[in-house]
Amino acid sequence: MSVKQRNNVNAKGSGPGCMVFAHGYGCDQNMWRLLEPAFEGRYRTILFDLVGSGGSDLAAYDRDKYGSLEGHASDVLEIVDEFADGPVVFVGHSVSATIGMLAANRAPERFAAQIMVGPSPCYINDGDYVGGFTRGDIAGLLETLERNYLGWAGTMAPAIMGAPDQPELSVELTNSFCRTDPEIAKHFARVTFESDHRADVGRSTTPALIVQCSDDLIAPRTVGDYMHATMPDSTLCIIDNVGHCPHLSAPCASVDAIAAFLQRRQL
Amino acid sequence: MAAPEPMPPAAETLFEHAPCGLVLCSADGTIRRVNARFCSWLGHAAEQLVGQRRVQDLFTMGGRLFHQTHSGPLLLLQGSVGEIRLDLVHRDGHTVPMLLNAVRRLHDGVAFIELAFMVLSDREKYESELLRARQRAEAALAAHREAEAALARSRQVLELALRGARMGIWSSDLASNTVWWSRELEELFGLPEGGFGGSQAHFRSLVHDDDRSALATAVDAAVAGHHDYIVEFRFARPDGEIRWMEGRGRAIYDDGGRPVMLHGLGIDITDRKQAESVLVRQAAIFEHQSDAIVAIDLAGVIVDFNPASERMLGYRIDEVLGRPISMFHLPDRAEDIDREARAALGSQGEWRSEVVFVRKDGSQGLCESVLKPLADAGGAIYGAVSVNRDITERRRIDDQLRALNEELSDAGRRKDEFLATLAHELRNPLAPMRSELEILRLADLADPKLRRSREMLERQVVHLTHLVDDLLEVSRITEGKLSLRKHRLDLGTALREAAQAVDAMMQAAAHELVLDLPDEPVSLVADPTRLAQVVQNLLNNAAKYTPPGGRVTLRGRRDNDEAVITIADSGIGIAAEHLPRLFEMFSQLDPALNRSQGGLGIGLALVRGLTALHGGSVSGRSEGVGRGSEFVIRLPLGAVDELSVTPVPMSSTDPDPDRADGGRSVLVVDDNLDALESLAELLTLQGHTVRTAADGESAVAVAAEFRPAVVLLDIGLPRVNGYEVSRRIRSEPWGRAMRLVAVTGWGQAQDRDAAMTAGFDHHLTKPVDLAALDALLALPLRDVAAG
Repeated sequence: MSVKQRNNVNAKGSGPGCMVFAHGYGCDQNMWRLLEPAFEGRYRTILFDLVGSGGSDLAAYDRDKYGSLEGHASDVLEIVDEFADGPVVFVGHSVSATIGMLAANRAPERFAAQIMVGPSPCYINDGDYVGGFTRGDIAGLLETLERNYLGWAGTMAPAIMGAPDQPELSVELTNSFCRTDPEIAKHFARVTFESDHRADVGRSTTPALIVQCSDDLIAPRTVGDYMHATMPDSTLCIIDNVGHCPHLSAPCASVDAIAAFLQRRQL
Repeated sequence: MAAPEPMPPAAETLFEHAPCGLVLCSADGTIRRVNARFCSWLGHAAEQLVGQRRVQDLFTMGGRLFHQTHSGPLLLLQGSVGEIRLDLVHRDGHTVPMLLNAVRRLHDGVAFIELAFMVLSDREKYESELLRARQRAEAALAAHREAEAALARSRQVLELALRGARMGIWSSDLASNTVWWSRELEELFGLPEGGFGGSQAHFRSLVHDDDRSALATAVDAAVAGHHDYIVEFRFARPDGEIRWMEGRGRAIYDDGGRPVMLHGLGIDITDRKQAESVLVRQAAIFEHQSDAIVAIDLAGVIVDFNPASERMLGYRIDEVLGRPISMFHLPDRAEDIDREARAALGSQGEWRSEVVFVRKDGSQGLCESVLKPLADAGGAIYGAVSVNRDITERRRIDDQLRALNEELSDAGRRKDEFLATLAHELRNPLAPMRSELEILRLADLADPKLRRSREMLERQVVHLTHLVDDLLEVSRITEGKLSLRKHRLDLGTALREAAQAVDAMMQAAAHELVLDLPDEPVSLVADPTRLAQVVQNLLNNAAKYTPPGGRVTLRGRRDNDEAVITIADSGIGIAAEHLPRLFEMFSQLDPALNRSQGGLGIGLALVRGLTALHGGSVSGRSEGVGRGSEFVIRLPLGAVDELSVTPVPMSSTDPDPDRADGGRSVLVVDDNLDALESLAELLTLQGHTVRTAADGESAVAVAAEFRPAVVLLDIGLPRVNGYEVSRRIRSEPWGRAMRLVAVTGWGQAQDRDAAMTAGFDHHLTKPVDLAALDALLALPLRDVAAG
């Protein structure tokens, strides 16, 4: 079982530098469809699926290993080792921003910068810390997950209703999108939303760009501010966007923010 | 004219009252239009929603999370989602389960989201139930699989256990009369897989003939009695080997109490049976052993005790178990015994000893003990076992015998010592007696009465001397102090000389002495003196015990590697009852006759002793009283290497013809004054010049001054003995040529040797043979230089 097979690694683009794109909770590498093309002309771009998501090898989902985000961080390091020539720019969305941060903490020499899109080190409120959710909220998510897997046909929607305005989408793409094993989905949901990596934030020395949405339920402003204040070398960039996926709902603004940061850092 | 088609409802009406909730939102979710259906379902007025709320705010938190992570991105990416299950929240707060389809579309370049909602109450219930049922079914299936796996595992464990314990299981259906055997059971019977025929008949055919009926009886009784059976039986394996099995089983009954099935176990107990028989045998040995067997643990505490131990020690087994073995030892020996035993076990692996034991009644005994360690199968020592044989009685008897033996040997030794001392003492008075008689002989006695008196005395003294000599010789033989000086001699010559020696006696008794000697020489190795003694002794007896005018025959011949000497006479013979004890000392052939002829009856004992020393034998024969006797001596001819000394001529040296008057200067030394005086006077009468000394020191002094040619030295002198005198004389220049003659009461070879070693030239025994003494004195004088 190679790393490529395990994580469904796709390497594109060319250039002196290397950018790694890591999707967030719930979907897969397809969510970079609107963002990645902007960079593949100048950088070598590496896209992959977290084990348990998308086209990754579900059989490799070891509950012990992936019972902590460190398990995914180890996979990231393996991908970087195998597919990158030098220090990479790691673009991580949502939980993958944390995963990337953990990997960069372990092997800082392999990371040139981290682009954190909608990151949150801890989702659950804790005293003064506002993560945004209670444990009951997480339970609600798990219930909804369960109901939606009873007769999940969400990805068949385009077959039923068509994909208006986007006829170029293929059926295969939509079929793989967000489809995963329900038990793995629930396990990953728990691991993601019950994780607490606030302690690792302060240890992160890799230069970071925090892409904060103006109105994000999952990564609220308070969390972005916390991260900016805690990370030694971070830049906070607020994008006018309602929702958790600026790379999908505000791709241009996202590209601009990232490109500006990279230029400033001469990466 | 046709009726006009009814007007369809206006689009607005259709929108408002569509059978589903319809919502139009901007890209960020802000509600732009909402239909009445949606509002009534959620209890909101349209005015409260339009431009006021975002559609996702109407979701539960779980729904919002799901939308943000799943359906939202989907919508963005593929433009539509279908059949999303979300809960929305009614204005009252209760959740409304809904199903939603949505599309994202550009209208005039601006993105809008169009959502259609359905309420799912009944379907929700149904789906929930279905979900729960599926979960239950999955759980049941998982449990079922788990149970199956557990069953498979336990079956494997059972098979292992059965195989390991050499057990097999079987069951029998009584209706169809079929029998099933497990694989293990087939293996126990040595059958291949599937080799069991499945019938009672097949099983019975494998059971030993003698055990079949007992097995059947036990099974029937158990079935009838509704209980288990256990029965041992023998069975045969295909290779003919007979093994033992313990069969156990029971029946299963239907509602009517009728047996429908049997099932049970077969256990191969061959090993157990063999072990049992070994145990039974060992137990029998342990119980019936006559030796006391006691087993102890490492601390020396008694763990087993056989009946023989009970008998030997007087304790019952229950009185000794758990008590230390030292309870049977003497208190002051217990520690040492423990130490010795442990040391011996450690170094030699066993301890053998004789141990004093104390019985219950306090009495003591002695036993021969062997202690060996006991080890388990792994080789670890866990105790020891001792086998003890009571030797108290045996030791007592042995001790008694030994004491008796010692007494007997002491007695024998004392008797022999007494006889030797007696003989030696008896000699002393004889010497002076003989000397005086010689003097009397030389003094020419005129009175015939005196002459006859002297002759009678002479004869008696001679006889007495012979008796004492014989007694002394026999004593020497029994004390082992007599040794032979063997030479090679000719049988014929020796016998002729012996005949000559008794010639006078034969003539005196008017007997005819017939010689029958071998024609060719017969060479034999023997002590010539002793041989002569033996032959003469028998000839004397022959002459004595034959009435005058009788006939004595002396025959000698060679018989293979033996010389055979026969002395026969025509005399009074020997009664049959005397023959067995003929050669024993002091045996009384005929007391009256014996005493009349004189003698102690030791002559034949002496003959036997001397022939035995030669390695030969003597036997006596007689036809009976008055019918003569015959004595036969057998002597081995002997080998060359038996000679101790090279042949020495029998004849004595010739006297020196140069002797002028023959007189010598003689110094006589003896602490017996009578003997000293009589010998000195005798020698003087014979023409020698005699000086005397009665002790060693004066002997040396006189010798120094007198310078005799010959010194006659008694050895047994007080303070300085004769050997010492000789040495002192020899150490002087004037003493070297002196002829020193030792005179002793002992005539043994070692005495002669000692004399020679001390410097003596000759050795005479008392009473001194005067002829020998004459011969010595006649020897030529020696030069001082030549000494």
